[in-house]
Amino acid sequence: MADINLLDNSASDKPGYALAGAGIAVKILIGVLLLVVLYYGYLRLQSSRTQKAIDDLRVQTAQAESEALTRTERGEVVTRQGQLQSLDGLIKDHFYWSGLLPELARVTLKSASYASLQAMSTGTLNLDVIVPSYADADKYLQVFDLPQFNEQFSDVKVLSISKVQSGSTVATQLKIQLRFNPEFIKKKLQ
Amino acid sequence: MAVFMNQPHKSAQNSILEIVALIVVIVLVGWFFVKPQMTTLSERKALLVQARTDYQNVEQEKSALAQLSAKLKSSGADITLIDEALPLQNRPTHLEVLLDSLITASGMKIVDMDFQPSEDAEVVAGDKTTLENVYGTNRKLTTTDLALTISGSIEQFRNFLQLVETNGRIVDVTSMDMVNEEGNPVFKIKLKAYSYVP
Repeated sequence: MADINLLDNSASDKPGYALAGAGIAVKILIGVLLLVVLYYGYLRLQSSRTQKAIDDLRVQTAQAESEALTRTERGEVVTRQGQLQSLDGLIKDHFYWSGLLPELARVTLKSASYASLQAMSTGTLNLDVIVPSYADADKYLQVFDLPQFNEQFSDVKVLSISKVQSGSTVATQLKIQLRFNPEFIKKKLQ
Repeated sequence: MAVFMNQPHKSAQNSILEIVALIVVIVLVGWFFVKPQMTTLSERKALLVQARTDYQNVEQEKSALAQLSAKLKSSGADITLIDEALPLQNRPTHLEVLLDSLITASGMKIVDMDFQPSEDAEVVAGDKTTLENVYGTNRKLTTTDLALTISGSIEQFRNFLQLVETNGRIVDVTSMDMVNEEGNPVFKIKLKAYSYVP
């Protein structure tokens, strides 16, 4: 009996193309997988080299630090730097009192003299002023209202007024407290 | 015959399975192996940059230290001035000798000079640790307080103040108190001197 081929002849070509396509796809995917594995290997190698470079640099850094710390002059360099930094601050806040007395003399009435003077770097000045009379005491205080005289002095308070024996005469003693500009004694006079 | 009819179908199925399996393997390898390794490499590269920066910084500091050391060796006169302005010792007698000379130079007379130690009196001589290694200890700015009573004229006092202000050592007058008794002024001054000691 002859074989009967019930299948359509043209239908036999389609599975062939599909299989061939699948085969190509498989080969491509295998290639991709190989590339992925190779890339992974490359990453591992780079990672290892980078870590070695980091370790080498850290060793060199530690060596350089050690050399700097054990350098014989380091102690003196650090000490001198500390001195200079401290000096900068001290010089900025250094007081120049010698200018205060002439400025006080400039604003003082000619008929007045000082029995005592107390000055503090915070800007407080306590004075015992001796003047011939109450009128002179008033004039002494009025001076501090004039702009040309109160540039460095302000806020005058009278603590007491009394009569005192001054040689053979009776004078008026004025105890006052006033403020002077603290920046004035930090400014070096020429 | 039936065998010949089923073979192409099974091969197509196998190929599809292979493709799917390969895709899954590629994705898994990529996710669990390649991605973490990429992250590791990225982190290490950042660490490498940091390590290079740290090394450069240390090298720069080492170079700066070498330059400062050389400059120090050639600045003897300046060092002397610095030591005069801010001494590395805080002996009050050293300060008193200085003030005595300034008072004499201004024409005034000493009535009294009173050193005022802090609550914890500091070592001012015989510190063997510091003597063996002068620059090896950490130092800080310290102050010495002194009360001075001197007599003389206002003009002499002004001269004295100017000498204190322009003197090589930094000494600050923190308060002044003048009492003028029968034309003989007496001045009480509080002073602060500074030193840089361990």
